[in-house]
Amino acid sequence: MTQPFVLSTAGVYDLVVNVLWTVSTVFLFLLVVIIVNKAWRESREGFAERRRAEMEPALFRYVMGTEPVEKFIPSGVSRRDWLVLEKVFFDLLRVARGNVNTRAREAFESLGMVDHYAGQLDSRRWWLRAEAAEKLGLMASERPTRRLIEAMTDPIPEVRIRAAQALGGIGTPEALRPLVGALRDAGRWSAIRVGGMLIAAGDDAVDVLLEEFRNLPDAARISAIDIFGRIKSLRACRLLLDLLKDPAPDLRARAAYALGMIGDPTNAGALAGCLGDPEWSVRAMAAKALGRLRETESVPALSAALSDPQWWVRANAAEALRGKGGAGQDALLHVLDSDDPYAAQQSVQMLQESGVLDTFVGMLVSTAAGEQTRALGVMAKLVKLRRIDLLTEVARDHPDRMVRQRLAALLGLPAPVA
Amino acid sequence: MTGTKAGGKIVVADDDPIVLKFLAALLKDAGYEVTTAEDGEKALSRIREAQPDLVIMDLVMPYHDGFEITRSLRNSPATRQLPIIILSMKDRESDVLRCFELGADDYIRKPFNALELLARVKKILDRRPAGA
Repeated sequence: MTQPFVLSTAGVYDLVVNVLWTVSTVFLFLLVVIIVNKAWRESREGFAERRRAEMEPALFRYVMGTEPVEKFIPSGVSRRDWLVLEKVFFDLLRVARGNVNTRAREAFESLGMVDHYAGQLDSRRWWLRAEAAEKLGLMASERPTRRLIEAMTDPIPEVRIRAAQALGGIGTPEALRPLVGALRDAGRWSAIRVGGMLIAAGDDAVDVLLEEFRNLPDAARISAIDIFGRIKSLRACRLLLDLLKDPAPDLRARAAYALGMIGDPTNAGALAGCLGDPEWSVRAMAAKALGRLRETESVPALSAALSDPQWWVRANAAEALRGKGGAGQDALLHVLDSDDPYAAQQSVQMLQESGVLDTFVGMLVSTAAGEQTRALGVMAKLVKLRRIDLLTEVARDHPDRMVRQRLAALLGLPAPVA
Repeated sequence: MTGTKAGGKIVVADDDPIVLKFLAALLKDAGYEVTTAEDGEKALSRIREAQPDLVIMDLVMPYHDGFEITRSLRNSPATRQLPIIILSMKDRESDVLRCFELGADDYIRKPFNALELLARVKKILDRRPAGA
């Protein structure tokens, strides 16, 4: 028979003391580690701040001068100085442009920073590869273009995205071509994100997109068309005008919309022609695009589009006419007489939203020759269109008592209280 | 950094240290006397103390923004004619127009071109009446 294990009072005391001793030793050790770490970090930061203060005046003189960077850092660049120097140049790139940027980029190359980060793209640690891609993007040197293109196939998405952003920042045709290629691969790349990078590259991206357009699948072509519109590239107009006749309705609709975004009024005729397209989405986008152009050539076609069987086309046409000044306003007033109830109601809505109806209501008490008659004519048309609700509201709320009385009399309502 | 030396007192106000330090170095090297301020309150007091020939300031700063400072300078007889250049990241048309309505003389967007800024400063200070 074995004896049961019994702990004496002294044994319990020893156990508690040992546990407390162990726990407090661990805490003390952690405390020391934290304090040493903080002191080390603060000393590093202090050193960096001091070095920055020492180096900054020379670096400012360098970016505003013409001589090589080595002349401004005679003692050479240690690894710790390197980080300080990199930070100063990145800060300058954030707030300045032009010559300062060019000089900062020259320094990145001549001090070997570009080569260093290009080499870091081969690191086994993905976060170092991502950091390298991001910094190469800020440095915008053309030299590591090939390495960054390779990084676009990195297994880690964060590295791929930063490499793509870096290529967009470099902006040469060689750097931008893989981004255009990425538009094809919708499964791997977000078209919106790649599109954003190409838009940021501006006109440089237009040339590459125009070159590659015919080789792109339809989905990528749609992205490309949107990019042309967002960049407002006049150079893309010829292609977009051709696309208005493309057999694919999506491409026609997007091309029409992009032409509106670009805003060149000489394209109004072609867009007005699209108001007769068999696909309603193309007609709707053409009407919207015409609303963005500063011209009046399209007013008759837009007036006709107010009778379109599709509500979206009518709404966009009315909205476009509203923005066409006097000519558009006259067209909307003319449509009040239309036999097409949709067109007439759309016209009423636009005239109301643009404040034209308010002007006519005010003219009811005008003393100028012909104005009252014109206003009465418009009111009569509204009554005929059964928009008494609208006029009743105005008759109740108009600030001018004379106008309220006139409208009440017209509508057969009781005279308003003074 | 620059060839010709100019003259005049300039107050630069910005809460971004790199802008403040870079502009100070740039303008000093071009021959101007520069006083810096890192917030709106200090900007107002430095302008009162230094009585500068030109103010270059950011719009977004702690305590008083660039709009408030411009309005305050234009409302005071002593600083009504003081040239003001706004240097800001804000690029909305409404902000730019508001600055000009309040009385700013020029508006430069960040990121800025240092040579262009120097040219604008020179042009504004050259318009000063002789002996001012």
